[in-house]
Amino acid sequence: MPETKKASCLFCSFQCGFGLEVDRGVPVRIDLDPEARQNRGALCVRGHYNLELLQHPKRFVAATVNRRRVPLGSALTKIAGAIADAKAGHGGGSVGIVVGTELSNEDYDAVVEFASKAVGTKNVAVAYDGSDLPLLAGGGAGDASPEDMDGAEAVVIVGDVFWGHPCVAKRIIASRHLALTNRIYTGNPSRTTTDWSADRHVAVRPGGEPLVLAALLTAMNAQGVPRVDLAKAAAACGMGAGEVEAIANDLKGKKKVLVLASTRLGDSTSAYLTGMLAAKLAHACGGKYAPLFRGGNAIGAHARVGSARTVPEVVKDVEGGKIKALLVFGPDVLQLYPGAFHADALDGLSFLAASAVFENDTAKRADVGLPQAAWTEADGSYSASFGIATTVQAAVAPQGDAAPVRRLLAALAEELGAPLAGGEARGEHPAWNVDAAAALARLASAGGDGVSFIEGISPIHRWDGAITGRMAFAQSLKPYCEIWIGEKTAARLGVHEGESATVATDRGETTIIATVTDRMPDGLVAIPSYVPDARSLMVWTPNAATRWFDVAASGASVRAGS
Amino acid sequence: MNKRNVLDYGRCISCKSCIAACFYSHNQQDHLEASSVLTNTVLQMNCRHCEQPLCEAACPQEAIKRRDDGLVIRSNMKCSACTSCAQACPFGAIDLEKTRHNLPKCDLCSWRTLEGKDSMCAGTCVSGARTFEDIGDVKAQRGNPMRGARTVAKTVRRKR
Repeated sequence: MPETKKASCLFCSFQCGFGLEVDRGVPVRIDLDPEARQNRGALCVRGHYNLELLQHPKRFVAATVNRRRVPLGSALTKIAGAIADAKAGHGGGSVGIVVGTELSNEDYDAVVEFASKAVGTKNVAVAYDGSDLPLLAGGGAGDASPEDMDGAEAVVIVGDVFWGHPCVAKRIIASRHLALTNRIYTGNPSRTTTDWSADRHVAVRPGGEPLVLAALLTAMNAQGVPRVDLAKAAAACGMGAGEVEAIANDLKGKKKVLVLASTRLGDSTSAYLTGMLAAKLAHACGGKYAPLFRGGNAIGAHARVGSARTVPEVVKDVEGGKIKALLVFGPDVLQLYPGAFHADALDGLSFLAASAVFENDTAKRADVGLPQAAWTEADGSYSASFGIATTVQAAVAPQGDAAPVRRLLAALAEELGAPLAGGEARGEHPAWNVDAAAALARLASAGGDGVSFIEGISPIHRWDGAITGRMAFAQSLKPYCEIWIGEKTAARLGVHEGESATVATDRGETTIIATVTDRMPDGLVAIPSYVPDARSLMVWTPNAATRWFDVAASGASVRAGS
Repeated sequence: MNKRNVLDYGRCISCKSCIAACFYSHNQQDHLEASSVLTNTVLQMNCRHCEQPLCEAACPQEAIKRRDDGLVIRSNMKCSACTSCAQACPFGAIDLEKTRHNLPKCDLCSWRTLEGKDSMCAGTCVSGARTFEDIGDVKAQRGNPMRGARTVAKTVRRKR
């Protein structure tokens, strides 16, 4: 008889609960879990991929050395030898470790212990997607609970939350329908589906989200926050100063206010300020704040691994030759940070090992590839948005030789003669050096013309597309990707609906089908970051103040045809 | 069974999770059709399980039958994919699946709904737009909810 096992989805930080119907150890069907506290049975498209993820024929199921299959033990011995060589020749600091944001808290504990005890390195960085790290550093993990979504009298949403984290939508929309006075306010450059459900959509410039929040806080006379020139800030966001004050007064008069924030690829200073100001806005209204992250367990990674080292710093050390051996657990760094993690730089390492669920580009380049268990194949605890701590048990056994990261690390530590004892890690968080007032003044005066790109989000894809791009539903429903382009811009450039357009930046060009829509303002084009070709058009520039990447497209242009 | 899938277009956010739920719970077949109207919205055209189904009357193979419990069910074995039912359906709820050469059709998730659970598309809906409700109650409260896509939009363009 098939039995239904409870599982959690790690495609975003909302971590929806669902059931997995298992028949004699084989996953056969996704079931809905109405008892799940955060999603109450709802599950977005990505959530349904969890079944295919377990059954996918291209799963990475055997260890490889130079892309030839070997027994797992041999691969681990080779990694242990390379670490010992690097330590003997250049010290423990010559070994770098990069981990993804879908690992369990126990995996992160093992990574921290392995790095300090078995290797002796502090070069451990978390590969956050987009601006998760600045958002976390700015506003923390938030203080809202899922129940705060029910009956919220006013909801302020920054970012395209309904497409990035669709399962949030049900309770927010339901609360709006409860009373005529309940309001949803949103801030986004384009009119996204989130804005579609809103009472007031503030069309900000790309990266200008903190300006709206700062203007609202200024209108509320909130203490301890940078003040902005209300008229100038409102004008920059396409509003009148009177309207800012009206929204601020409305928020002050509500008893139950919820502020949600997520970010697009973009300026890391903006993401940091968005987190900081969104949290302050919630507190100024006596409400609650909840950030939503792209990485499933970004909150757990931030708490346990910390941000003493960040990916841009590790990239610099790899390129500078300080890091000789690199271990990557989970992410495809070549696709996640195109151009920032140079393939040539990885080739320059004396040793590269990568574990992954699929044999991704990084694993293909690695000297040793390790098959990693998916999140439904291992026990573990995770930290979700809305203050939820999720504990799940393995629903099915891992495929082939695949194993959870902590088990791989335990075996490696044994080989290195420093067995792991277990224990809970607590990450270090150096202070951030961001001048909020100066950054807000810069945003208020920024302008631009011509064509600029923003990240287009899709509910059927994860942001980097590394896993979702392989799924049958995504391929059957939308075999091509598309750019969204405004009607005026399309008419000016001669681009037509459903026809191909060539988008180009300083980094190169790619041809994509165009969707002409009135949802995009003039001069702005949304490109799908889940498509590797399109994602690589963006430049990832390290920012010393935020210690993260600023993502932008310079020299952007669009023309009709291929 | 009097329960049917009801869609509130005002709440739908076009996330397509209902279509994904249907796809993965029916052996990767599209039972739920989707259309876009001028890219502004997506209409999910689901089978109404009519009292007098035109698809049943049109089927030359007798592959489609209306059961006593009110469900209009298609037999995979009898279907020859002639598309007669697709042309007969006034709601555009049946479409040829070219790769497998058959015509998948909504079975109202009978393995779940007969146990008292919601259909997959209604249960998975992330915005509360799609519900699985007694059709008599819905009609009494909100008027006729079973209007077809053709009565809602002038131009329906398939988006696959």
